[in-house]
Amino acid sequence: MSKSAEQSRSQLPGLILAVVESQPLHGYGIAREIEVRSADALSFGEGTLYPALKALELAGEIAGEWYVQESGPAKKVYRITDVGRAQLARHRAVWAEYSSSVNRILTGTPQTQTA
Amino acid sequence: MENLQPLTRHIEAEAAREAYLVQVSKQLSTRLSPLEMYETVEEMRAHVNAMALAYQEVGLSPIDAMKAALAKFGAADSVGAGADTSTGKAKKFSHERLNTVALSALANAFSGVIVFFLIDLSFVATGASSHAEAGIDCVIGSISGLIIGLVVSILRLSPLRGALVAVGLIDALVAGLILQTYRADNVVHAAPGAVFVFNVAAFVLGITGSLLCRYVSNALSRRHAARRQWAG
Repeated sequence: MSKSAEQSRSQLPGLILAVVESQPLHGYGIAREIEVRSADALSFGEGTLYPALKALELAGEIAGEWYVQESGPAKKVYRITDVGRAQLARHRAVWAEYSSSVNRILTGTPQTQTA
Repeated sequence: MENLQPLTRHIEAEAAREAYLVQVSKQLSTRLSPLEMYETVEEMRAHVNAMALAYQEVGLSPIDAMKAALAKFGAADSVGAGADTSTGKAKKFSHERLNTVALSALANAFSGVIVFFLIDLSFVATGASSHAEAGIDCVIGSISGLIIGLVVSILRLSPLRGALVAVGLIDALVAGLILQTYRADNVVHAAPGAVFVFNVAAFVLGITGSLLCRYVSNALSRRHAARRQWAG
């Protein structure tokens, strides 16, 4: 597994929550949305999406519902729950702190100290 | 024969997808309940089909499109193994699993009554026992069936393993009872014939417990799938 794929996979729960926050989507739709929003920069084995979806569903962060289409197979569509919104806010806070820390180191910007 | 070529290519593509999903199922079967596995594989199949269709739209042949879709989906081993790290807990005791264990154990308790009733009938026919003992034997049978059913369905044992574990349980119980009577300085009356009959009964109940667990699990999955099919 490439480092990029490994990093994407570790961030997958947060990415899924962010994608289904705006609209309910099925697995294929979630994968495409991540691809589009990241401009193809984030790559991961799309099969790994399903264990992550199952884990989020078990944690109550997303809710899945099957929809039968007039043509084609039934699809399970996922929407974010209130628990998921709260978790997404935590993901965002952690990521903001992490990325700003890395950014400070990489750019050599000193941390502003509060008295 | 040339007219059959598109159909052959389509079948080849579907065979490749199914072979891949079988590999993933094997990985998932030890980590998810049958219903969770069924649903996950259904979702994966739809996902792979959609990807393959997208590849066909940009000019790939059905088999090449399927190969590309499967490659992008990821190695079957890593997809299946992901269930461990993502769910955090292997074999989660879901609501469906609880139903399966409870229903199959209850059904096995009924099997226990039947097995012990048949044993009693044979004892009465040979004059080794009286009708008066049939009631208590049926109670013992139902309790034995229930316990064996619980153990076999919780551990998801195969019929042979279920039978062997059930025999082991009964032998441990008999050994415990003998030890207890020794400690109490009582005379031990462990009739070899009775111990043998208990072992046979446990063997049968181990097999029925395993088969009932599979039947109940499959029936619940089918019922859930049928309900979902008509939900729309």
